Amino acid sequence: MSDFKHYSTSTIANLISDTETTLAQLKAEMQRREAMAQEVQIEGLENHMKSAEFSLKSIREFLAFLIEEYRKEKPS
Amino acid sequence: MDDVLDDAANEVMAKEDTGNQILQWVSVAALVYFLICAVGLIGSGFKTATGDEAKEMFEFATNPFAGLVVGTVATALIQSSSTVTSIIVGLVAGGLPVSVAVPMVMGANIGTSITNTIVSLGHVREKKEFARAFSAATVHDFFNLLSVVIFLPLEMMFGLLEHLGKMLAGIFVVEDASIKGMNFVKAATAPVVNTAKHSVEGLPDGLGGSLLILVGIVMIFITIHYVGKLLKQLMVGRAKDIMHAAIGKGPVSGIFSGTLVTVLVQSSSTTTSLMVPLAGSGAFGLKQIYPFTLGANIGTCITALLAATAADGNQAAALQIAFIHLTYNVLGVLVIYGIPFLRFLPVKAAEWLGATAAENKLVALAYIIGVFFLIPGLCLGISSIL
Repeated sequence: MSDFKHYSTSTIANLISDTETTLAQLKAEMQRREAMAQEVQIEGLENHMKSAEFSLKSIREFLAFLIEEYRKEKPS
Repeated sequence: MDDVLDDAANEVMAKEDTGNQILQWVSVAALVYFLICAVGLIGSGFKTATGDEAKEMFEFATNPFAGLVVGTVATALIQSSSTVTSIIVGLVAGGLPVSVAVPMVMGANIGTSITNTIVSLGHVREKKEFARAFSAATVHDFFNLLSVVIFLPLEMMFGLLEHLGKMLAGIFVVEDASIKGMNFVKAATAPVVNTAKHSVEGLPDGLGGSLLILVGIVMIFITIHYVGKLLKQLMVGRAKDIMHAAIGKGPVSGIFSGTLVTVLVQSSSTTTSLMVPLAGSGAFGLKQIYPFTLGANIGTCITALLAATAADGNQAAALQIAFIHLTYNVLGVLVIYGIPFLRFLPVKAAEWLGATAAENKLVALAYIIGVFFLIPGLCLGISSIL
């Protein structure tokens, strides 16, 4: 961490201004990336539509996973 | 040369696609027609089977908690709130008292949210993904449970929804809206309904009426199942556009989009189940998913409203229960999402449950069995003893 005590007031003001600008840019970039990721997910809506249907298969797989976990945890 | 052949092939495929789409839309229209006929059959059958004793027949459900449980369990087993609410509309048209039907409609809302919860189980192999997916699914459950906690006592004390539903039905009663007293929807469905009625005329009232109800229920099952399938194929592109447009536009846009997508695909469980993989991927946060879920509750009311347009028997009551369904869901969103203190209670509860279930998967299993079957079963048992 810099020793701010030796900085002039105007330098600190400039640093604050620069930091705020950088922060705003980083936030905007973050939002852009989030929006991009969301757009990509929505583009795959057909696939999600298929996997979003009720099926007994997901219950079977879930139960199989539970049994698998239980066997792993159980000391042999 | 190759380009010319490709263009010709594309043109042929485009024509085939258009032809297919037209055929699919015609099928949707035919299925909707049969859905409306089916509700008419249930109303007519219930009236024939019970005479003036419909109220006595549902004496066991006059306890609102029993009605709530009937709606929850029936929907959880059938996996379609549209089917259950359409059947309820038919029963109300046939003489089931509206006051008995109100908690059933509320229960249908709870029961329908089991679909996306089960869909979320598919993400079990990835811990973080499962936590997100399970939270996204159960936020709908917690919202619907909170809605019941708020509105069922208000309904029991003041008949709030019954009054609002009656008022709205009064505005839209079809007899008054139709030209020269003729109800076009009823007239259009009359050939099917009357043919079915005539075919059971020789049978005793109880048996004939029950047969009509059974045929109506089977027809509703089939029509809603296939309408859902066709609309999903036809509307996936439109749903995509709506969701793209809603990104980053805030909660109101999310609620509106959820409503619209549900109206397009005719199934709230499809919309809410779609949110599960979107949340599971991590691209959408729970707070972004939540408004879509609320919109799905509103969008699903269109089926019961549609069904009520051709109810055979007491149409005013049929419209009343359909409007009660709509009013209940709209008020639920306005009150719970509108009041800051209540707004994020379902989100917090779902986040906690998601994180807990990701640590111990048995919690997820216990939650599903408990909320949708065990607790309702216990309530039903207790209410039948009392």
